[in-house]
Amino acid sequence: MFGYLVRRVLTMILTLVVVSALVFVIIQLPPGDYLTSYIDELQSQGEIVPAAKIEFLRSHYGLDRPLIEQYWIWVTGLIQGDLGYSFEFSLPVTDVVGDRLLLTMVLNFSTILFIYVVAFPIGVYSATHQYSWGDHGLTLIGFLGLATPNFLLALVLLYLANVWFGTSIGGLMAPEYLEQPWSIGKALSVLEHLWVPVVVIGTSGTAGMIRRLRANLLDELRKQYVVTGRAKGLPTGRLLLKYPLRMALNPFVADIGSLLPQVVSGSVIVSAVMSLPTTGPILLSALQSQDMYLAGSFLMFLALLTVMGIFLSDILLTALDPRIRLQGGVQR
Amino acid sequence: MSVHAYPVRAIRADYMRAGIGVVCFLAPLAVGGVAWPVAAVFATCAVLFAVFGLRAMGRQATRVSVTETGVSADGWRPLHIAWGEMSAMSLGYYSTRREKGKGWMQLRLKGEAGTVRVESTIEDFDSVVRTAARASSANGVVLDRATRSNLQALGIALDEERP
Repeated sequence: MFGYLVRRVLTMILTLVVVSALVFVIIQLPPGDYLTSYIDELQSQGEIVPAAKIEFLRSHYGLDRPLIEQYWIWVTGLIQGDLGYSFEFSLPVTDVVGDRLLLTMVLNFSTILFIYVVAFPIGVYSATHQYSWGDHGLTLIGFLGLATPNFLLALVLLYLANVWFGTSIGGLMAPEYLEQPWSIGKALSVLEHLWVPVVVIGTSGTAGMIRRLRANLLDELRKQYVVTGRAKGLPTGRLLLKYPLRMALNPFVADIGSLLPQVVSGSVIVSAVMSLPTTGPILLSALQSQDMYLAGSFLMFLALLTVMGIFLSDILLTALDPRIRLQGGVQR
Repeated sequence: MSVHAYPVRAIRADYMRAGIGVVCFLAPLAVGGVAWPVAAVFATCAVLFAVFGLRAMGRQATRVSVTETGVSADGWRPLHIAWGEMSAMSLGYYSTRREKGKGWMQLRLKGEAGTVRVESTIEDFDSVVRTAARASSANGVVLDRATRSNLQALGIALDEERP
């Protein structure tokens, strides 16, 4: 297992290096750069920008350097904790991002926790009580969760939270805490506001997860070893926990890898709708304005989350079920 | 009695992995200016790869002897497990590829003295596994589902190994 862990870490490094190069190249692919967009915008307002000033800005921001050099400066900066300079905000990216990365992580990890905590018992109940009233009711709620657009659910829940609990509309904290340093009151305000986006972003993921766990568990429950276990008099709960549930967990665990990026990218639209101070809205605007260091840093953050998620799910899957598949060869 | 060793070409690949890992994680630290949370992660990973390299050295020095009475691994941590004392056996398969191909196996034999781990890169791995499977059947050791499945993949039928 230790050897597996080390090899996986090595693969992860390689993946991140390739992703960083891809992210940088893709951001540069559209014609022009941030400066071109900026100058076009000024010219459309009737302002004339002198050629000398354009050259000065290009050299000042390092946009006149070869692509590979720009990439190297960006990557080495990332490792040193320097995320680059945001042209749009005229500030270092770390200052622009501020608490947003932390709040994004809090929001996304809470959502994943919500998905697992809700989906697991419901999935198990639905499978073990197939075609009961409870199963039908939970399945209906699951389908509703899958079918309801996130932005619509967000608007409905924002209204209800405001009417029932007096929670302020939009944002992840009450307006009075916006520019304040972190305090217990601010943290409590975040918790008070957090549940709405968590439920909104988590609903579709939860519904999908319930369906998958239910289907996997039903497959296992129909297998002969379960029938044999029952015939031998094993208590139902013990039989369920020890064998079929463990087998049904594999796809559930494998989902961690895809869930992280799914939740993060899903939260971009919801963040825009709910005015959440997360990375989503800034990422959208950075991509539109070709603010390459800001967009690149966010995309690398997403890539890191994805790679970490897949790494985590691979480790758990290998620990759960280290079985050979017959088409795969064993190295000697 | 048969004696098994790890071929140098198998160990060489692990040395390369360890070297690449240590260099990748130590180089930024050596250059300096790395933010402390990143530095902590990098230092941990560098240690991980260094330990992996040391393990590869340990494997190079190891000889696994399989006799009628038990299995011994001599090297940095000499260990002997008599077949009669073997309390657990597991055979795991690991692969870093998506399609689970080109992986490797690890045989773990647990006795009172400790655990002997043998990787499939060792010479004549099948015969070590076959002898261990026979001993596990004789001792009535319960094998997990993954181990049974992996034994079948190696062409070792469990029923045939029963005395």
